[in-house]
Parts: sequence; C-alpha cells; structure tokens
Amino acid sequence: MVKLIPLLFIGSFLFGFHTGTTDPCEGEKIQKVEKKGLRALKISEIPAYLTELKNCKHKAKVKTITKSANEKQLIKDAENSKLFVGKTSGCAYCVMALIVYLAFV
Amino acid sequence: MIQRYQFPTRLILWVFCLTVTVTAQPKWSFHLGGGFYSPTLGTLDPDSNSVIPSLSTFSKNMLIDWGVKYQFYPNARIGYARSNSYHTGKIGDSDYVRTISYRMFTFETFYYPRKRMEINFTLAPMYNKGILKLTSESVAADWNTLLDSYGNSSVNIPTEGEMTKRWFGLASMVGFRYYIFPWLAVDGKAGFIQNSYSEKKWKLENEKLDGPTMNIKKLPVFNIHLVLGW
Repeated sequence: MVKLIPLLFIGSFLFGFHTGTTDPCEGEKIQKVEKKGLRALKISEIPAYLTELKNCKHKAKVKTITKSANEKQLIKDAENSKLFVGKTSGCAYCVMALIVYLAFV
Repeated sequence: MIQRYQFPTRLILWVFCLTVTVTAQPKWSFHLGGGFYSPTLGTLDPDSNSVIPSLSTFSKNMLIDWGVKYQFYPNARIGYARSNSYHTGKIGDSDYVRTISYRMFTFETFYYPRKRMEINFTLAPMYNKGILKLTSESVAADWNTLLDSYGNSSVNIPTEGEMTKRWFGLASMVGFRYYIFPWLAVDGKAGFIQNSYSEKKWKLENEKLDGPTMNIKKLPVFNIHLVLGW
C-alpha cells in the first residue's frame, strides 16, 4: 500500500496536466461571437477569429457558425436601426428638401 | 453650495452617457467605388479649348470614390469621402494632368426598413480642390554642361508646374444599401453636388491667375460603392 503512494502521486500529476489542446471549433473568439455577436470582436481580434475558424476541421460546422453569426448580426443591426424618429430623421428631411429644391428650381 | 456640485455631476453623467453610446456602437466602414456626373467643363473641355488634350467619357463623366465613415449612433455616421475626376494627356511635349477632387465631410443618417436593407440620407459640406499639372522631361543643356564638367553623362531633368484652386460646396444624397454580409455591402446613392466655384484666383507658384471656366454650380451625381465595415 505504501509503495502505491508514489505511484498515485506521479499518476495524479500526469492526469492533472492540462494539455492545452482545446477544440478550435469551440475557441475563445468563436464563443464570444456566438454569445455577443460578430461586432463584439474588436478589429484586432478578427485575425484570431479567422484562425480559429480555419483550424476547425469540421467544415460543415464552420459553415454553420459563420452563417449563424452573420444572420444574427444582420438581425441585430436591423433591430438597432429600425426606428427613424427624433433628431436623426431631421437630416433626412433636410436632404429630401434640398434635393427636391435642386431638382425643380 | 449645492449648485457648486451640480455642474460636475451633470458633466460626469453626460460624459458617461456619451461614452457608453460611443463604445456600444463601434462601427468603422470604408468604401470604394465610382460615380457618374455630367459637368460642363468649359475651357477644360477640348471642344471649347483646342489646347486641352482629347477627353474620354471616363475623364469627363466618371468619378473615383473612396471614403471612411464612423457610426457614432445607431442611426448616424460621420466621415470623410472623396470623389476624384482625372484627365491626362499631352500638351506639346509636356504631360498634362487635371484633377478635380470633391472632398466631403459627411453626416449621414440611416434606417433599416427590412433586414439587410438600409436607406440613408447624406449631407456633406465640401472643400474641393482643382489641380492642373504640367510635367516635362526636358534636357537642360546648361545643366548638362555643368554636370559634364564633373564627369557625369547627360541627365534628363524633369520640370513641373502646378496650378491649384480650392472652393466650397455642399452635397446632398439619398442612398440605398444592401448588406451581403454584416461586413460587406453594396451602396448606391443619388443626389446633387453644389459648388461655389469661380475661375478667379487660381494659384501658380504663389501667383494668382485666372483659371478655366467651369459650370459646376449644381450637378446631379450617381454613385455606387462597395462598403467594407466592422
């Protein structure tokens, strides 16, 4: 029993090692995009995101990830800017008035 | 005493609100494309001035556009955009280059009537620039004599002169943008460019001269751009 203790000790170290080989399809940037959307990535983080996508061997999964991210972002953008009221619409009225004036006068 | 503390509190609140708005919508976009317009170039046109080299449709009616914009609010962007018109040719032995740059400081508001589709409205004060440039590769005999005396062989010495003029303007445009991806879109715009151009006071080597006449006071413009953004 006593002889087993060093064996268990070494064994616990061996099994305790973190190999650092995480699945690239579940990478940090991919998860960030899935949780917060495509625009949550800073411009400097885009190469890392693309590298993670490139390293992901399951091409079908890559396609699903990118398609889902694009679709979610397009919906989010449309939702954020669907209202056109208040001060921002003022510019539109000015532009339209100016164009109509220039076209007919 | 209370009023003394009111101002910084309000200021801090405003700074906080604006910072949150700005950092919540960080969106830069860059566009590249072309435009079509039909200016009356007056004495810059070979039809009315025989000195000017022949003019193609590209040089007369086409514009090359680029610009950068920043979305600072969910419905608004500011930026800098430029539309350039080029004409090149020969006058005598010299190379002739004419550039008209329409430089716009854009303020654009927009909204999405549907997913992927955006309608935008642009107002842009402009500070435009016209350049006429002549470059000639002349063999300056005196330079060659001098350089020969130092043991050099004959050298081609380019000489050039540039005539410039700046003027203000205003652009107003309505556009439609279709997003292929969240980061790639095609944008078409139509509108007017107004210019306060006068042929007086062109500059050549710090001397003020009369320049070409152009009728560009009110120009209808059509643009199409490829937009890359994040």
